[in-house]
Amino acid sequence: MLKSAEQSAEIVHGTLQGKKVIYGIQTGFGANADTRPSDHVAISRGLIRALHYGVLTGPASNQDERLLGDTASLSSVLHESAASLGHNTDTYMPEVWVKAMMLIRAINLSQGVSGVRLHIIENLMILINKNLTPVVPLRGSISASGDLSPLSYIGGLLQGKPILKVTSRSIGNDGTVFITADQALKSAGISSIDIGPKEGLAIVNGTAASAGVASLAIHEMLSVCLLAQVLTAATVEAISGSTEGFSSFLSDIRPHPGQTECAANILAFLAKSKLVTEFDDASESLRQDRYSTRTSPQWIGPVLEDIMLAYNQVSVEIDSVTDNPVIDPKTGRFIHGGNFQARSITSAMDKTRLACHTLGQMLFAQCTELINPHTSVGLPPNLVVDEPNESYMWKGTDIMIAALQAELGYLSSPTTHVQFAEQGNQAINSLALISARYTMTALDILSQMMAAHIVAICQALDLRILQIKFFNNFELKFKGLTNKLLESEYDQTDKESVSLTLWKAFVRQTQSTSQIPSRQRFEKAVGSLLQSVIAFSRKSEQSLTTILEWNSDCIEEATSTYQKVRSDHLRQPNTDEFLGDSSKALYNFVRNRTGVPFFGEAYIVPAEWQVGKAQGAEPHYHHSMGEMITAVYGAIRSGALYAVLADVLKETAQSHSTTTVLPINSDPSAEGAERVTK
Amino acid sequence: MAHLAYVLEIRRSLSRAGTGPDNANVALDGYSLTVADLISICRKSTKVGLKQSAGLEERMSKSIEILEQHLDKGEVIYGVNTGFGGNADTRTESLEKLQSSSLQHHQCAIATDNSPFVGYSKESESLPRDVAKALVLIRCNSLLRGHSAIRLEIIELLLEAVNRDMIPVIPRRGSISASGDLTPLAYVGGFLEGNPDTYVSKKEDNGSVSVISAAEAIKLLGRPAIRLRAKEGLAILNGTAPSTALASLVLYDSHHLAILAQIITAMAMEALRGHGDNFDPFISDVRPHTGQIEVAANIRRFLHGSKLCNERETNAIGLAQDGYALRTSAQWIGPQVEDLMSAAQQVGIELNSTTDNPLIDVAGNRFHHGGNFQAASITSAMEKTRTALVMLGRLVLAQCNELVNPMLNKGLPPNLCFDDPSASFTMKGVDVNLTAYFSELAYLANSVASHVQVADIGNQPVNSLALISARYTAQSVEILSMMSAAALYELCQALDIRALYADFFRLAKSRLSKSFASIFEGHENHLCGEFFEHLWKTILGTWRETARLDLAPRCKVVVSKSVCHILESFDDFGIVPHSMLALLSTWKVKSENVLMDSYNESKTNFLAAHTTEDYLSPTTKIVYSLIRKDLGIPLHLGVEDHPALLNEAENQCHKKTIGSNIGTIFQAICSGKIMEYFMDTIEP
Repeated sequence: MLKSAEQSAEIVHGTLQGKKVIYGIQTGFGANADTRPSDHVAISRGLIRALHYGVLTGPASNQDERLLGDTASLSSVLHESAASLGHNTDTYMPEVWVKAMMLIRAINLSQGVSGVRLHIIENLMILINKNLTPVVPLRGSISASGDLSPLSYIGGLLQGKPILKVTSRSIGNDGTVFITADQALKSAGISSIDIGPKEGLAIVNGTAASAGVASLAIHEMLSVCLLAQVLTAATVEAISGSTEGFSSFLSDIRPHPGQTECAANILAFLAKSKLVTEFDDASESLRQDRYSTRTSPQWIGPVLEDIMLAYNQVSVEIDSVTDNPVIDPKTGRFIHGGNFQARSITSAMDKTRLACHTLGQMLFAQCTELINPHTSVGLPPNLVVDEPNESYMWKGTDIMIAALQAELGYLSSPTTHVQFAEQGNQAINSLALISARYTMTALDILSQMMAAHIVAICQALDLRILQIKFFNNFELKFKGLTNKLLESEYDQTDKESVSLTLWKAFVRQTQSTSQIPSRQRFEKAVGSLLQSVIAFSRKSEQSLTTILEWNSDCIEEATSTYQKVRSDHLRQPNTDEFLGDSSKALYNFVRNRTGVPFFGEAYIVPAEWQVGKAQGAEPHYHHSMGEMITAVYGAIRSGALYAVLADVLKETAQSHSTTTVLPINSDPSAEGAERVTK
Repeated sequence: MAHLAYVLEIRRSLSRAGTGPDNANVALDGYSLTVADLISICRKSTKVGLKQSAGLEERMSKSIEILEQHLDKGEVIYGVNTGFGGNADTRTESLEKLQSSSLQHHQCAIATDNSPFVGYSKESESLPRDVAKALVLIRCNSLLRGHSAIRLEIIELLLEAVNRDMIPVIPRRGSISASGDLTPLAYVGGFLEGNPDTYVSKKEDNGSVSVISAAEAIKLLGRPAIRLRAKEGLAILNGTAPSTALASLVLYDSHHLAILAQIITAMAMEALRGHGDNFDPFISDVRPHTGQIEVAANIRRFLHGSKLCNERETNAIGLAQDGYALRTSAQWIGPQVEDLMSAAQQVGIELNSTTDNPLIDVAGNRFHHGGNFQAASITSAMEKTRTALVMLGRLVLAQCNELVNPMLNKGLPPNLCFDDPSASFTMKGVDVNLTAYFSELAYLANSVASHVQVADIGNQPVNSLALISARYTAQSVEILSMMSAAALYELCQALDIRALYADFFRLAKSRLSKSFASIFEGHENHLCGEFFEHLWKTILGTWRETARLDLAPRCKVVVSKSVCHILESFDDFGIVPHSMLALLSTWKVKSENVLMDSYNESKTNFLAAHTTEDYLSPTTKIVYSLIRKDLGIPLHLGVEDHPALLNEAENQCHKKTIGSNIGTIFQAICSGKIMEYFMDTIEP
């Protein structure tokens, strides 16, 4: 293949004397291909020059303050004021995008039909390995004749232009510095390249920028899809929901592949959970869980199908040749076409962005249902462990995720705003890079939302266990007090069953009144039993006293039991013992690796006034809810959480023989590295 | 499967349906309903029946038995002895009343107009008749699978109604397609119960349609109205059939529009003299997206044998390559075709799925409470399809813009006018209209999926909105069909002009060549050998650059350019024989006349008998001749075709406005005539 790269470069050389008109060698460019320049080398370089048009500000720009005079200070004022207004002042692409673009360009060109010398590909690889990436403007590509302008900065770097800035990151060091392209080549120990005929075009004319950003986005999206399923499983546990909706029977009779896979995954995740419940026919609750969990396979399923299609589209693209014209090395023929039109990437990214919204919609519903006491099946309002009239901790999260979901909705529309460009020659243009960039934004927003959801769900799981432990602890005491009451006040022999009925009524009452402070809540719950107790009592003179004693004993006992269980559980929650595989991994990761605890006001009140780490505090110490969500967000974006979840998926897939369609890769670098060596 | 092959397969099974006595009917069995079946029943009036099998009857009655057993055991089963949705915390023992009550509260669509409708998105509050018919069929097919505890006689009644062309009038709004399409299906239930305030649209043998009440309809069928038993109301109500029905029909039409876009591209390649290179297999070999590979191969195939588009080399003069509207069309349409195929899979599975709830596992003797009514698969299919339609529309717009723009159309007259361009603007209005159509289409591309609201007192916070998505996709089908009709109208015009030009070039070249030889006789040493060939290239080049001029000045400019060319060549030899000047003057006067006469003669001949088909590929010829001959859409002659300027005697052939002509093509697209004819004519 690499040999044919050289070969195609020779074919280009061979055409220079010929009469044939080859686009971009003997002609001008685009709508101006009706010109016939004579200097083939000069136009190749001129093309790169003409495409250095992006806006760059700040340290990455090449503004010489002496030349700018007054405007220099104006530009720095603008830069600062933009920063103070909260605008994103980065006008250039993140380093990792540029690196992906360089890598894909190298892969494209190495297929040997683009007419570039091997030397160019080799230099590109050296620069990638030395972490020297050009500063590339964020905006300005319509991804039609490929991503011309972004790629021209790679061309400029290879040429070693002193006017271009390069990001240099020394290995093992987080800091980056900006140097110029000529300095960059020097530090890499390579010489500048005199761009030859066709080579300028071969470098700038392609979809590598769109494909690069899209590759990063789709790679992340695969993990996002997994996390959405993990969160759904955790939500089912937090509401003590049922696994019935994930039964394989349902996907057997509606066999969409995505639905089938998702249901199987979630069912496997929940296999060892002690929190899922079967519906009790005696219950007076909703017969089925709400749609946000029950229809999640039907909701996530088509997302998985779309993402797989998008993944295939991106995969084909990064192994393709996307410049023009291309050279058939066997016949030496030049073929003029349009492989730079990046609509496949737009297609993939539009689907991915809409998928972010679709998943967000479901997660938003799940999370708000956890926070709302009317839908959380007995959890306290706003997920507070303190009394509900004293703390409102997750109310902020409830509002935050509404804002995030609204923004996802805004971003979800397809990229259809195609303009008539370049004198009509590029009347259709794919807008792939724009689509990929906003997909990255959507992924960022969805990740923030999932971070908030994760913090909420871990708290909800702790609260659910707290509730279970309270009922377990109090049941014996309640029955003891009640049996004593029955001894003196009840003649029949079925004391056990009366006691059980009263207990069930107490549980039901307590579950449905989580918005009331605990003592009043127990007063209300026990009080609601009085009528039935009085009904069966002997109604002697002593009866009322005995009953009222039972009443206040129960309230006292419930209150003190609750307080003890609560403080024990806050100190040492053993929640993970109850969870299914995926929730357990998620919960332990959050509690142990991000330092987000099961907490109430007592944790956060002192913390918010302390700058830095409080004395004697845990190694991870957070001062606000925002910091906790940020810590989890960081673990999501860095891939650390996904690596843990991918292992769970592998294990459950093995033990439950579910078919895993999503190619989740826990090591993001492995895939790329393998490609380069190929 | 390749897209074109997939659509051809649908066409093949469609033409099989209803041909032989055995295959006259589509037999439902719950597991094998296809889009082709739906089309043949809903749009071709093929009859439908049940597959006679013991298994089918047994599984249906078994599911009812199991329901009864479980009820006897005192189980709580959603929607059978509980309330509905967010109110499923109530319990009841009035099992039959509950079912009627389920229908009652969903028969709440605002229905001011109960007349039946054909075609998409007419301003009516009812779903089109073919969609309503399809949804009844899909519901029946789903219920036949034996997971829903409903009596077979209910399905039989529905199918009999379909066969007698009595279709419930179904409202088009009010469904969030979450617990399925509750309100639309409640009107199917209304029909079964013989509800006198729900309606049925009845088609007579003579094709006329009347609206009668469900009570009357049941009477006409000679059967008693259904008294719903436990769960049966829910089984009818709770499912995705309306979304799936509309999606199936919309997708069927979208497939055809995607192929039509490839035909339009092929015709535009001919009209704009595009390069065959654009679709060379090498290009898709080195970027092997399946959609791109297929589309390039299709267009290559459509262009095979064309005399207008066979160049392999780049242009020596002018732009070296075609604009993106032609050159990148495979890369543009490719991903849309991939999305359409994915959508087809999603819809195909949904057609043969059980989508109500709760569901009965006969083998396992148990109930499953789940969410198979959540129609997000259909939303997913429709959102993709709608985006694909917009992208196809964008391509058609770009190609049409090029056709009318003399800067880009390689020598065709501005606005494709057939008469003089100084006073005739034939396609200018169409060009602006196309932009308006597209802008509206692009507006419709916005995602429906992003407008999900919390519904049913919080029980349905995720709801698929599939029917809304399908409805706006139907609207997009309509708009893209309009755009395609306008494009075909422009293309036939452009191809005619291209053919006339080719005729004219042939005639003018032979005459000018003779006249050149006789005028410059004796000067062969200067104007030797290939000279005329070079001169002719200049003449062609100038002709191409002067399309903005009326005929007379155009010929003048072309000839004076040729004089310059001759003079320059003398310059090359360094001598200008004095006698030459007189000869040149003769050449000038004579050639102008030759050009004018040749043009007018070619035009007269062309009007007597169009030669366009001689130049087209066998495939594009199919579409061209369908429009010119079968649909009778004439070449637009210019101002003289304006109906308002003609007296009655002159207008015997009933000249029409441009819009009426495009309207005829539009109707032929909507009715399937164009694409069905095309698909049946090309070789598989």
